[in-house]
Formats: sequence, structure tokens, C-alpha cells
Amino acid sequence: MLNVLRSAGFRLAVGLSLSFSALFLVMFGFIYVKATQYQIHRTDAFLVSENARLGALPEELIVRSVGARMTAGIHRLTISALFLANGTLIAGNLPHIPDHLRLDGHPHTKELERSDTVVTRQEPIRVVATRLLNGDVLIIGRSLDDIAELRHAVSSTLILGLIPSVLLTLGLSAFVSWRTLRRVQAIDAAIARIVMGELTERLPTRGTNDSLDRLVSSVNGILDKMGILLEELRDVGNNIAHDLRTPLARVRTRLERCLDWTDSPQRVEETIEIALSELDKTATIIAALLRIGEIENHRRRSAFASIAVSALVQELFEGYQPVAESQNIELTAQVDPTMYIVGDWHLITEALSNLIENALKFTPTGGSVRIFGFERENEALIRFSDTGSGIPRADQKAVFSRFYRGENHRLVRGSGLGLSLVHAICRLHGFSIDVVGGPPGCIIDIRCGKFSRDLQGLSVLTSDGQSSEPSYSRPL
Amino acid sequence: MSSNPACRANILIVEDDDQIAEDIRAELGQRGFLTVREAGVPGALDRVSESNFDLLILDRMLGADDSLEIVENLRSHNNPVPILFVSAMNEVNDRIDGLAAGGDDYLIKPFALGELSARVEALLRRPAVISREATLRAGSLVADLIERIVIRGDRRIHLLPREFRLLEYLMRRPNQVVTRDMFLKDVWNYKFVPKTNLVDVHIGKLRRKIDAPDEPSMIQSVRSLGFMLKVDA
Repeated sequence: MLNVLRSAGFRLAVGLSLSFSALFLVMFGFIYVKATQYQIHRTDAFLVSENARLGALPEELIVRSVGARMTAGIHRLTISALFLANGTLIAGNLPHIPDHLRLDGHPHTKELERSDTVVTRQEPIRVVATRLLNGDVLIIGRSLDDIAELRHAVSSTLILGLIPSVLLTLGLSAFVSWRTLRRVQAIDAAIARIVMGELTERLPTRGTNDSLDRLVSSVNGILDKMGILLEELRDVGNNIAHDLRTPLARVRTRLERCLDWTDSPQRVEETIEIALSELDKTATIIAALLRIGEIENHRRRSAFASIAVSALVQELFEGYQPVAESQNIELTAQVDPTMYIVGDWHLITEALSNLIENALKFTPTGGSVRIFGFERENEALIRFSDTGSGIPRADQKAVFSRFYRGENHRLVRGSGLGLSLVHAICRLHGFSIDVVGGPPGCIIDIRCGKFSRDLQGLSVLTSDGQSSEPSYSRPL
Repeated sequence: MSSNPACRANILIVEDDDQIAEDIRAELGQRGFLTVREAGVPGALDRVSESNFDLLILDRMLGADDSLEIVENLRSHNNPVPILFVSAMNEVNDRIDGLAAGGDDYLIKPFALGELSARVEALLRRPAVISREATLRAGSLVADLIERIVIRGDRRIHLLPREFRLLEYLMRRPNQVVTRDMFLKDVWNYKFVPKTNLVDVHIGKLRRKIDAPDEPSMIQSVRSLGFMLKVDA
């Protein structure tokens, strides 16, 4: 409960209700003062004029008027009395001339006691007293009970209206604060559990779609994303450890056995060769990992320029055609010479060469690897297709994540980082890359954004080295 | 393996790891180079102010110091000594920093000692290579750089553009080991290392064109390292 009282919502509510109460008090106070003033003013005017009127009458008329008829009459005088100059009551309902009452014809407020009621009590009375020409003293007055009644009415209205509304406000805000506090506490507790390592924990939502709920949902979204990343990271960590450990383990056992072969320098030499090549493999894995990290982190777009895809592919084609030939694989390239993309020449080359190497690696002897560059639906598209074993449909999305290696690729050695490197480069360029075909075979599409239409004809590069001249341009 | 004993050079190695420094000294010493080793930036700065070296091998990170300081110091005194960086920092930016500061080449750890030697040799010979003759000669090979014609003895050899560039690169470095990384970096202009035996395939094709069956092979393989254009003195 103390927490509720301390909560910001509750404090705000208390502050607000205090402010409103103060405002009400000032407002009612103002009304009260104004009404009182008006009432007194009217009474005063009446008393002064009535006193003057009576005073001007002959004495016997005054005596008659001052009688009970007058106090009970329409004039609603509480007090009316006529005294001799020596203070003896002639007529009226006041036993004696009050002390300190100035006989000046002006209104004054006095606590007086009338003598014509059964229960005698002092009450505040507005009185006007004058000394008549013959020396008699005329006193008339009207009770201020009216004003007391007004004050009573005002203050009871105030109490009846204000106190329940203040209580209601406080009660409601305490309730709302308590509910909010309970949600915040639940969220707090969930966060504490997440901090302690329960990463599957999610912040509680109520499904009301209010602002807090939406915030909580966003945070949960972040947590989901982070959970996936952590999962991937853990997988990557395990895979890195595995991929580095395996060659290191081979090196270690080899070198250990090598100690026993001191009599055979040739075997020792062979072992060292193997150890070196295994170590190089680990260095390659580390380099590839760092390279992906570098591409993902740096987002360097400074080297971006307009690239003629045909020129870039032609260079790659010339480089890899002999490799394909040596494996008895047909390599062809067919690229629209008007196709330009915006990117980093070296990174695009690295990505495409990875895809070519991948295709050559998984395509058996006698197969073919084809590279296309063309426009489709107003988009520049680079397509790789090969007649290799392909990627199972279930794995086609995972293939670009780090260290993925499909089951049927297990026999072929590699760091498993090639495609994730390609993916990182594509992401950097804002290209999207997907496996769109196979198995059997494999088709990979890279969508390179908007195609600027300037079609002049297709350039065809084929494995026999014949090619129509594509437009050739490269950045310095 | 050394082909030019007259140009055995004086090399300063600045490397804070004792074992790597020792292995580099042994490797280069074996090839006839004179080496001096320093472990830190202050010592290295003293050394370069005292004596002239033909080449510097600098580890990028020396404890908390960056050896770029040494390069900047040398270059600000107009000292053109070739500098080879050796570093475990391999982000492109680190390499760019190293080369921009005035380094001449950059080798990433771990590296093969043979690769290091080849780079050292290449750096030491570089000034002579830049000369702009129209014709290159290496033994019985003659290459016309303008007409892009290659002749061995009296036989005209037809080469594809890439093969011509490979041969030219080799002919500018006769009797010198050219590693696969050097080919990829300088001939292919690749900033990455392909996984396939790209260089070997192309050199193989070039070799079959250069060496007729009855001729001695000019392009020799250097085991686990690269190739060398063998030219008799």
C-alpha cells in the first residue's frame, strides 16, 4: 500500500485533487463573501431608512409601531425598541439600551438578547440607533441569522460536494496506481528474471493494447529477436569451436605421433606438411569470420560506384573458366551488357566468386554452371544455376547463416562460411539473395534493385572463350 | 634459393614476440640477409636514426604502441626505406592505415615464412622493376609489352590477356619466388583469397604454352608457396 501512496500516478492525483479543492474553496468563499456583503448592504439600507421614517413619526405612533406587530410583520425587524432619554423602556423587545451602542443612525453589529422570546439567547444583530428630537432613543435591528444560514448553506454544499469528490478522486487514483504498480512490478520481476539469465522469459501483457501494453510488446519483440540472435551466436560459437578444434586436434595427434618417428625423417616431414596445411585451414576460417564481421560492422559504402555487371562477370569468367575446364564442368555466362548495379567492385567480385566456387565445388564432373545477368520485373537480377546436388528445400533459408553445412555436403570440406560471406555482402548492398530452385541442381538469385532500361542486346560468354564484346567499365 | 647474393640486405625487424622474431631472423638469415631485431618503438626509432637499413619489417602492435609511429617518423624525414607490415590486425581499415602511412606491403599473421621471404625479396628488388622498358627479356623469353607478343627462342607464343599479365609479372621477377597471394593481389587485383586453386590452374595453362615438350621448364613450382621463373644467368 505504501508503494501505491508513493507512486507517481497517485501523487499526481493527490496534487490534482488538492488543487481542485483549493479552487472550489476560493470560488465558494468568493460567492459567500459577495452574498453576505449584499445581504448586509440591503439590511443596512432598510434599517437606516426605517429608523429615519419611524423617528419622524409622533411619539404615540412610534410606540405603536415598535410593538410586537412590527417585529413579526413584514419588516422582519428582530428588534425594535423605544427608550426614554434616561434609558427607561417605553415599548419594544429590548430590555435596555446596550452598552457602547453609538446612537448615530449608522448600522452596527451587536450581540443582543431580545426579551420577547421564550428562550433567550444572544445573537448577532445589525442595529441602528438614533436619539430623537425629544431625547428618546429609537433602536431597530435585524438578526444576521439569514447570513449565518447562508454561510451554513454554502459550507454544507461545499462539504457535501468537495469531500466525496476528493475521496473519490483519491480512491480511484489509488486503485489505478495500484493496478499500474502491480503491472510495473510484474514487468520488473520479469526483467529481473531475464537479467538473471532466464532468456525465454517475456514481459507480461494484458492484451488491452494501451500504451504500456504496446511498449511491453515492443520490448518482447526485441527480446525475441535477441533470443534468436543469441541462439545463432551460440550455434556459431559451437560451430567455430568445432571447426577450429577439428584441424587443431588432427595437428596435435599428428605431431604427437611424430615424436615416435625420429628414425624416419621423411615421415616427420610429411607430418609437418599436413600439420601446416591444417593450421592454414584454421587461419582461413578465422580470416573468413573476421571478414564477415568486418563487412557486417563497417557498412563502408565509400567505395560504391556504378558497376557494369557484364565486365565484372567477364573477369570472373576468364578467371574461373580454366578451373571449370580442369574439372570438366561447363561454365557459361550470359549478362545483359546494359545492366549496371551500384556497389563495391571488390566486394561484388568476392561475393560472385564465392558463388562460382561454391557451384564448381558441388557440381559433379560433366555438369554445368551458368551465370546470368538480366532484367526481370524492372529489377536487376544475377542468377547462378548449377547441376549439382542442390540444397534441400528445408535448408534453403538456413544456408546463408554462419557455419551452415547441409547434410549432403558434409563430405566436401570447407569452412561453411562462404555463403554467409556472400549474404553479408548482399546485405551491405541492399541486395536480397535467395535459393529459388532445386534440388536437383541449385538456382540462386541475387536481386540487385531497380534496373535502368537501356537494352541493346545480350552478350554471351561461353566456356570456349568466345564472347561478344560487352560494354566494359570498372572503377579505378 | 637466393639468386642475387650481391644484394644481401640489412633488415630491421621490429617485433615484440620473441619466438616470431627469432623465426623471422632465422629464415632471413638462412637466405643471407643481415638482421637486427628491436622489440619496441623507442628502440626502433633509435636504430633507424643510427644506421641505414634496406628494409624494415614492422609488427603493427607493439605492446600498447602502434608501429605506424615509426613509419610516420621515417617518411617525415624523407626516408624511402621499404616497409613490410606484419600484423594480426587484418581489417581492411588497418591495412589501409598501414599502407597510407607509408608502408609498402602488409602480411597477415599467421603467415608462411616462405611468403615473408618472397615479399621481402620483392620489396628489395622493387626499384629496378619499375623501369619502363618496352621489351622484357628473361633467358630465352622475350615479351613485347606494346604489341603484347611473347617469343621463346624462335617460337611465337599466343597468350590470353590474363596469361600475358601473369607472364609479365613473372618476367619482372626472374629467379624470385612469386607466391599465390602476390598473384591474386597484383595480377587479379583481388582483395580476398579464393578457395579454389585459381592461380595454379592459370599458371598450369601458361606453363603448357611457354614450355614446349622438348624444352626445359621455365616456370617452376615452389612447394606450398608459389612459382618462380627460372632463368639461367
